[in-house]
Amino acid sequence: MSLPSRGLAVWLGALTWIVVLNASPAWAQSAIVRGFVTTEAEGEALQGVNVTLEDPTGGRYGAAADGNGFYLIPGVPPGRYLLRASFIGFATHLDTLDVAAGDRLLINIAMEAGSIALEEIAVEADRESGAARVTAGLQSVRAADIELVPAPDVSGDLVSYLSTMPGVVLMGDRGGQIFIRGGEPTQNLTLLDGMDVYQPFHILGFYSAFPTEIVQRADIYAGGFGTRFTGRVSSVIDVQTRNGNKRALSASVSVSPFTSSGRLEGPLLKDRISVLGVARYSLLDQFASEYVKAPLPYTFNDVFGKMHVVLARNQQLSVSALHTYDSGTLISEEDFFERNDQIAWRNTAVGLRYLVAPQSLSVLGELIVSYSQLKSEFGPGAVPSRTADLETVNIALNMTNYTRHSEVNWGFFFRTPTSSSELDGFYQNLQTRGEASSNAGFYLEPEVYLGQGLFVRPGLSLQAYGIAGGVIEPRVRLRWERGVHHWSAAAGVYRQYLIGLSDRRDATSIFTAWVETPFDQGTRAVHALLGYRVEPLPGLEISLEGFYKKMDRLFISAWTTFPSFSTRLQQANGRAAGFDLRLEARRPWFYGFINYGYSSTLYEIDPASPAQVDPGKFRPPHDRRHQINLLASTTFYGFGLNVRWQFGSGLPYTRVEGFDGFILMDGAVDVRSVRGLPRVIYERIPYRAVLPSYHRLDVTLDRTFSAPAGVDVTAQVGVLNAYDRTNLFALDLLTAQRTDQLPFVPLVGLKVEF
Amino acid sequence: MRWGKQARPVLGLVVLLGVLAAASGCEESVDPIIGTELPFTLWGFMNTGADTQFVRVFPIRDQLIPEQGGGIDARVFSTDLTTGDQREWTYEAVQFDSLIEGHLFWAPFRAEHEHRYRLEVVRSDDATSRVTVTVPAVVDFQIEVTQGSTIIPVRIIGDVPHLVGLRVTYHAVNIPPQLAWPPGTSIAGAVQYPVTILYENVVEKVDDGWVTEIDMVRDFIAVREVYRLNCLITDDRGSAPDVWLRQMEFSALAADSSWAPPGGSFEPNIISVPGTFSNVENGYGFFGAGQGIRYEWSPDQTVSLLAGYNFEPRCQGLFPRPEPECMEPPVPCINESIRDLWRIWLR
Repeated sequence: MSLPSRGLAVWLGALTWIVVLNASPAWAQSAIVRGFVTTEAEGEALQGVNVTLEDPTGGRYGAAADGNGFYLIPGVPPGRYLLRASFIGFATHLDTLDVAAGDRLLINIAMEAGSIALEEIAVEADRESGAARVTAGLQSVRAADIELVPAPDVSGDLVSYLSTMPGVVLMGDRGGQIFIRGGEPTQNLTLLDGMDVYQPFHILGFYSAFPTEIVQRADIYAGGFGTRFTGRVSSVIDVQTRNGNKRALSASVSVSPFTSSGRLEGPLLKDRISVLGVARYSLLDQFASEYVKAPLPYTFNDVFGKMHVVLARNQQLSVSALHTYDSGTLISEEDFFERNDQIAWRNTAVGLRYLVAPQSLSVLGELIVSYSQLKSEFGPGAVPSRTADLETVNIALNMTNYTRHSEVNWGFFFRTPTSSSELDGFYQNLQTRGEASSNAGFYLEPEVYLGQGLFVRPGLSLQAYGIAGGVIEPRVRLRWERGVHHWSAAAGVYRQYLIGLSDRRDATSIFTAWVETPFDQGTRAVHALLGYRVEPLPGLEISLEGFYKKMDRLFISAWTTFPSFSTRLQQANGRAAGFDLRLEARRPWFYGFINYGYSSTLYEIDPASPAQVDPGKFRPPHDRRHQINLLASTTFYGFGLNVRWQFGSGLPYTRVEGFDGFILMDGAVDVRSVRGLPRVIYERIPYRAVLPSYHRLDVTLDRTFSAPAGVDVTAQVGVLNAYDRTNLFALDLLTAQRTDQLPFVPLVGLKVEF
Repeated sequence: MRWGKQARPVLGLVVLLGVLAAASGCEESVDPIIGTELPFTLWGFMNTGADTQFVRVFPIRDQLIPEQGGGIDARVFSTDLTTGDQREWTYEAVQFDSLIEGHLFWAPFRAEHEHRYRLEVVRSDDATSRVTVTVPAVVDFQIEVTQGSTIIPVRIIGDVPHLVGLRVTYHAVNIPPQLAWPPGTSIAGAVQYPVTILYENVVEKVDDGWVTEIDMVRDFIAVREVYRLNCLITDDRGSAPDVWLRQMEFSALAADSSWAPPGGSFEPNIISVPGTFSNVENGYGFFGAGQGIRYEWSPDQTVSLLAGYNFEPRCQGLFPRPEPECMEPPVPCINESIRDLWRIWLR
C-alpha cells in the first residue's frame, strides 16, 4: 500500500470511528442544540458568541459561535435549561429551553446591541480579535479593528491593518505586494468567501479588494495553517464578507482625494434575502496627483456584490462576486530611458456558498463553488508585451462533525487551474505557454480536547496534482489555555504547484506570470510556530510568538545583469525565522498596541540548479529584519483620534561595481557594426547592502455628526507621513535614480451614511 | 475634571508626535556604486577570413552614461606568440548613440591558423586587461543542396574545437493578396523580412568534424510564426500561402577552444553576467579566434513549395472570397523587439 493510500485508510478509519461514536445508543439519548447567531439590527452573523445551557443543578454545556455564527452543543441530557448567549457589546440573550431525549433543536438567536462596558472583563474572553490575540499564527481581524488604523479614507481597508502586523512586509506605499513572514506574495492564499483572489492588493498600497465595508472578519494565518487550506506554502488571508442588512435599507457614499466609494445594502425580502454592493473608484489622476504634488499615475477600482439568502432556518445560500482593476506605472516619471511600461491586472471572482445544518446530524456542511480569474499585462503604453492569465474553478465541500469533546473538520476539494502566458522582452526568447491541470484532495482535521485546557488539532491532507501524483501534508495545531496563560503551537508540511514568477530584483517590476512548477514535487515548506499569550491585567494583553519556515524548491529569477523579467529560473532553498512581540491595551477611553517583529529570511541557490553565479546564502529583497508598529486610538468629545507610527529596517539591495558594454559573441559577430548593450556590473554577492530604514507617522481625526432623517455624516482630517520623512520606494541601480514614497499629505474625507 | 480625563490621552499623543517628529524627517542618501579596479571589457575575435582584425573596448566606468566624444584612455597591442611579431592597433571612435560610444581598435593583418596570439589593452596608469587565444586549424565544409529534398545535409570537416553561430537565414517575402473586399480596402506592399533559425542545438560532432541537417519544413513553422507576429500574414493556418522564399544562407564559425559558453548555450541572460563567459584576464568580455563559414543559395522552387512556401497570390476574381487574407489583408506591424529576436528556438 502506498503512503497516500495508507494515510487515507488511517484517516478514513478515524472518521468512521467518529461517525460511529456519534451514532451510538448512549449518544442518541442525548440531544443537540444548535443554531445561528445574528445581530438583531442587521441580521449579520456574529462570531464568538458564547452560548451556554445551564441546568438547575449548575451543570453547564456550551459552545462558541463560529465564523458563520453557527453554534452546536452536542450531548445535552434531557431536562430544562436556561439558554444564555453573551458577547461583548451586546445584551445577554436569555431563554428557557426544555430538551427531550434525542431532540435535534434548532435555536437561532438574534443579539440586541447592549451597553456592556469593556471593563466587564467577564466577557473579555469572548473577544475573537485583537492585535495581541494570536493563536499559532492566526490573528482575526474585524472591521472595527481596521477602522482604528489611520487611512486616507474615512472608510478603512484591510490592507491598512495588515501593514500594522509584525512579519507583514510591504515594499512601500505602492506596488501591491505583501510578504508574510518571509513568504512571497504568490505564496499567500487569499480567499474571499472561499473564492481565490490572486492579486488582491491595489497598486497604491493603502487599498485592497477588501474595504472595511464588506469585511465581516478576516482570519490571517501567518503560518502554521490547517489542512483546510492547501496550495500555498506561506500564509492565508481568509476574508468573510458581511451578508448585508436584512432589516432595513442602508447606503453610504464617501469621498477623499484618493478615492470615492459607495455602498448599498438592504433586504430584498425582509429577514430572508439581503444584498450588499460596494464600489470604489480611484481619483488619483484627477485629484490626488495635484493634491499631493507628486505623480501618482495609477488607476484602480473594485466592485463587490453579494446576495445572501436564508433558505430555511438551517440553510443559507450566498452568491458573491468581485471585480478589481489596477493599472499604472511604477517607473519614475523622470526615467532616463523614458520607459513607459504599464502594468495592469484584473481580478474576477464569482462564488456560491451553501451552508446547511442537517436536521438529524451534529454536522455543519458547507459547499463552495467558485470561479476565479486573474488577467495581467505589462508593456509600453497600450501595447502589452507580456500577458498572463490564470483561471480556476474551485469546488469544495467542508464538513464539521461535533462531538462532546471534539470537533472534526473534513472535506473534499477539486480545482482546475488553467494558466496561459505570452512573454517576451528585449532579450527574451519568444515564449507562449499554456497549462491546464487539476487538483483534487481530501482533508481531515479533528480538534480534540484532551483536558487541562489542552486542545489538539492534528490534520492530514491527501491530494493529487496533475503533474505530481499523490502527496500527503501532515499538520498539527494545538493550544493550551491555563487561566490567563495561553500557549499555542503549530507545525506542518505545505506544498505549492502553481507558482507565480516575477522579477524580484526590481521593485518596479510587479508583473507576475502564474505557471505550474517545473518539478514534480512542487515548492515545499515546513512550518513550526510556538507562541505564548498572557493577560496580566484586565485590558492588557501581551504575546510572543516565534516562527520558523523552511522552504525548498523555490523558483527565483536567474541572476543576470539585465534587470528584466526572465523566465530563466533558478531553483533555490530558503528559510525564514523570527519572532513577534505584541502588547495591546484596551481601556474605555483608549485603545493601543505596539509590536515588534524580527524576521530573517535567507535564500540559497540549490546546488542542482544550473546557476552561473552562486552567491551562497543571501538575503532576498523582501528581507526586512526589524519592524515596529505603534497604534493609539482615543475618543474625546465625540472626536476619534487615531495615530499610527511604523518603522521598518532597510531592505537589502545589490550594489554596482561599474558599467561597461555587452556584445553577444555567439558567432562571427562584426564588432564594428554591432551596437552592443550598456551593462551594469553588479556586486558578485547580491543583496549585501541595505537601503535606508523606513518610518512614517499617520494621524487622523474624525467625528460623526447626526443629521435629520437618520443621516450620519462623518468628516475626517489628518495627515499621512506627518513629519515628511523621505522614504525610498525604489532605487534604479542603472542610473542611481530614486523613487520615493508619498511625502507629507494632508487628508480630508467625508462620508455620508443613510 | 472631565475635560482633564478626556484630554489626557490626547496630550500623550501630542507628546508622542513631537518626539517622533524631532527624531526623524531627514533623508538618507544611498550610494549604490562601489567601483572596481578592472579597467576594460573586450569583445571581438581573430578572424582568419579577414585581412584586418578588430576589437571593441569598453572602459569600465562608474556611471552609466559616458561622456560624449571623450575617447578612451587605452592602447591596444597584439603579439603573435608563434612568430614574436608585435604591433599596436589603431583607434577609431564609432558613435552609436548617447549610451554607446564604440571604441574600436583595428590592425591590418591576417590571423594565421594554429598561431597563438596575445592581446593587451593598456591604460595610461598601466592597468592592463589581456587575453590569449589560439587560432584553430583550417576547416572545409560541404552543403548538399539537392533537388526535391527539404532536408539539406551539412558537413564541416577539420579539427574544430567548437562550432558556434550555426544558423540558417531564410530571406523570405510576404505575398499580399491581389484584391481585398470590400472594394477599396487598402493592401500594404510586400515586405522582405529575413528570419534566422539557430542550429546550435541540432549539430553533432563526428570523428572528422561536425554534421547537421537543415530541415526546411520544420523551419518554415518558425518563419510563419515570425511573419504572423509581425502581421505580415493574416492566416496562420497549416500552409501559409502568403510567404515566399527567395534565398537561403548558411553561416557558422569554426571557433577556438575557449569559445565555450557555460552550459553550452549562448543564453544572453546567463552569459551577460560579467565573468560568466569571459577569457579576459583583469577585465571582462570575450576575445576568441575562428574561421567563418558562409554559403548562400537560391532554393529550387519545388523544394520551397514542399517546405510550405507559396508564391501564388490569392484573392483573385470578381467575387468576394471568404478567406481571412481576402477580407482582412495583412497590415504590417513590425515590432522592433521581435526584429531583435533573431534567435528563434524550435522546441
